[in-house]
Amino acid sequence: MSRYLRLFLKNSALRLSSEMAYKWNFWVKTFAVALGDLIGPVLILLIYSTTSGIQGWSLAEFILFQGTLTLVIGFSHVFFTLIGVQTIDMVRHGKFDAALIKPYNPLLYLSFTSFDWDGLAEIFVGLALLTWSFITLGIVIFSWNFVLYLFLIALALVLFYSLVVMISSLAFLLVKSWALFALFFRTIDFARYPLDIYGQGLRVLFTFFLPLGVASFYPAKALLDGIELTIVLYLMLSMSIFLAISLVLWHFAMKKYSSAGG
Amino acid sequence: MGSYLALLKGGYKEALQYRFDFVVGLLRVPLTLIIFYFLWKAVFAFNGTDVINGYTFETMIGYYVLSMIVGMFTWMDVDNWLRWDVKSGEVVSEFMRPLNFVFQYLFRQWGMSTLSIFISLVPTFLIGYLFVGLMFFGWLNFVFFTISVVLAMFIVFLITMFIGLLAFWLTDISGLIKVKNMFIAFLSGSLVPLSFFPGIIQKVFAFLPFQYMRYVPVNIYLGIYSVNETLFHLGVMVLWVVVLYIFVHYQSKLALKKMSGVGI
Amino acid sequence: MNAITVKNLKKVYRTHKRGKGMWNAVVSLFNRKYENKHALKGVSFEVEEGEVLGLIGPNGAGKSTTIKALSGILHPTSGDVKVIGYVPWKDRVKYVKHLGVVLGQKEQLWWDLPAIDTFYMNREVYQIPNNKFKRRLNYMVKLLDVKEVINSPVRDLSLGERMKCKLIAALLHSPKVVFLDEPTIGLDIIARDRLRDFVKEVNQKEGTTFIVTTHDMQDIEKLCKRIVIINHGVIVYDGLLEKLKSTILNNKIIDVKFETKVKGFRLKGCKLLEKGDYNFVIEADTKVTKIKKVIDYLLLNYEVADINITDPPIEEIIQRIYKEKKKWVHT
Repeated sequence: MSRYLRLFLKNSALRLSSEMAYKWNFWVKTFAVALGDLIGPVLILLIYSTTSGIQGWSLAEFILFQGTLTLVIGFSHVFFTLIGVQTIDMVRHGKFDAALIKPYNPLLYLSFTSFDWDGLAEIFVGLALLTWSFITLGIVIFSWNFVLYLFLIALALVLFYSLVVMISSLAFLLVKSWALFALFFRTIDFARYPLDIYGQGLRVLFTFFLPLGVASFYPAKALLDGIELTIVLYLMLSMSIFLAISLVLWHFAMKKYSSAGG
Repeated sequence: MGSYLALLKGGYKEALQYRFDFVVGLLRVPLTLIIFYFLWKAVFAFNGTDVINGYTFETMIGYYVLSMIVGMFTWMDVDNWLRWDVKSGEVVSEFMRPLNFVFQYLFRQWGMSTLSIFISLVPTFLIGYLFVGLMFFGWLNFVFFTISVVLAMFIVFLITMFIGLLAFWLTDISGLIKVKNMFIAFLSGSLVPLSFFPGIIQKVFAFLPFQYMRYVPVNIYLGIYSVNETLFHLGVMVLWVVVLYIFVHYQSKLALKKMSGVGI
Repeated sequence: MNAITVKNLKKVYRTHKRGKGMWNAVVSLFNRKYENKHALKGVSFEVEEGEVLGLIGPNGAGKSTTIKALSGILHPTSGDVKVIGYVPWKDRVKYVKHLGVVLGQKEQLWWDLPAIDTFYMNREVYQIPNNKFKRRLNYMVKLLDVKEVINSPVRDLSLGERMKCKLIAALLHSPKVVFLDEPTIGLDIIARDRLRDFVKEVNQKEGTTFIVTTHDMQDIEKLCKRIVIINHGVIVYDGLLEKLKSTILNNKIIDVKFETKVKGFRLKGCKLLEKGDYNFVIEADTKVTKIKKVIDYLLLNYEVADINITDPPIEEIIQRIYKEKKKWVHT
């Protein structure tokens, strides 16, 4: 494991100096990312400043909700997004061989060499939104609910990792995987608002089949009201299944690649 | 004119290469609409009023449908092209042609947009009429709306061109392009009607070109302005187009000078 | 001792045939027609430890399929491969630690950073001890004369400088076996010579086994004693370069330019390929006439301005091999 850690550190350092080759552009990109994360909260702020909002959610609770999602997206951006970007790019240009002549498991190698500095701003925006809402709501950090909250965020990261691995695997099977990647980001938009605003069908979809609720709704619920253990158990099961499917798919993609040779 | 038509055709063919992306992009429209539909349904339900900020639930959803239609016509990618053309040095060939530099990009963009409009326009209108109950607000409004969309297209094009041309002076404009997109997302009214912003901010918006990209054309369709107000807005839009064009025209001249000076 | 043993290596690609147009695309979703493409039809050869083997053949002949199978990237359909004791596609992770690969055109360096940073990255990737890394880097940098080059961003380097850096990156971890895919393509003569000398030096000093695929006969002549020629997935020649030269490469292309206008040319064993007012391109069969004879004849009878003698291109050599074989089979 320590060799993967060293690989990760060295690669991330190089990525940083690579970004710093265009220092000015890096800061502009970071600014754009931060602005993008404020779209949701600004919309909510505007709605809450002209109306009394939506049932069951105060402004601060809503910001907590969106801050949680921003944090999850931020971590995924920093740690996972480049896995997909690199894979799709390599497959498209016939360069995936380069990953296979390294003495590592290719998925682990990609996972440890994909730190994206662009996304750090997203984590900071998420943390800022959470700090504000935690203070406003007076949330106690030393509580069972908070532990559950962190646990659900971890589960959400498992989900996002699995989805990125799935999309990366599909890059070997389909040619047009950029569009899929874009669609993935669009679908995440559903998680920007509480599941209880949607109709029954969508609520079931985002709880049981594509459990995006784990990235915002259920952690926020757990922290604010507490949730039933059965849901937590279900989400754990669901994430394990997602992870398993993604790994099987990746394995299948590798097999296909090594028998077709790119 | 023939050469410009060739560029138009070229752009269309280029777009055909990416038709799969367009079809997937098409899914974005219903996805986003579904989200806004449920969000505003929840807001209207909880507030128990029929009208919020001058919008009923129906006109609010209609606002988003129309905003997306305007968005299709004002989708511009020229800043990304310029970024690549300058980086690869291919921009030289654009300057060498005996055509207006700015217009070449406009026609290529039009060629590309044609396909996405073909693919997305009808389904979006259908969603609007069948599921959301988007109404028709009379021919006069529709004609004004059409004119405003054309003007909005020029405004977005020119601003995108301005950002793209900066590639001649800056090493990488990918960040600036993203910032520009974010500004348009916030300030054009694609997120929420601009009347939801506090009064002072709205006054600032009046002096910026952004509200003419979505908010004003959509409101023209929805009949929110009087005829005089509409004509005033259209006049301001024409003014913006003229000012921006003069600016971008000189910018492209400077870019040529810069290029021949450095010899990119 | 053999470093590489390849026995009856076969690779069949299954590609599905797809008609043009939307309708056929839909049809093919349900009813796929497959087509078998035989990329390698039973290839066998061996490479001795410390040898530099030239693998040549036209595009699409099976060169890169062979290299991919030998690198552990590709699973062959059947056949056995052993490289320094490993089956490449089975023991890939352990095996590639001892393998260096330079993939011709494909970038393996960090574009916006100096090449030295890629070298440091490879130190982590291959876990090279620090002092060993430094020694080796210095050695190679001196040999290729790239002391300054490795400190400026890769995007600012010339093609030759980049190739030199790629070679260093591929050899930093002292691999026992190295595959070079078209290492000199697009480079100028000086850079080519430097690269060839470098490969030779590393090979002689460290006993590293090399397989070089190339289009350039000069590469082959400078580097390899033995060559394997592959065409349509079959090995058509495996043997010493010298032997090929004496039996099949007995044709020379002579490009002559003249001071004065010339008319015709006739000599036993010579064929006029091209005729201009001031130049000839002559193909001479050295089995029939000695090359010296042809030159003497030319010098004696014409006002010669310039003479250039070269080997025929690879495609022609392969054709000749086929002809030779047919003769051999028939008689």
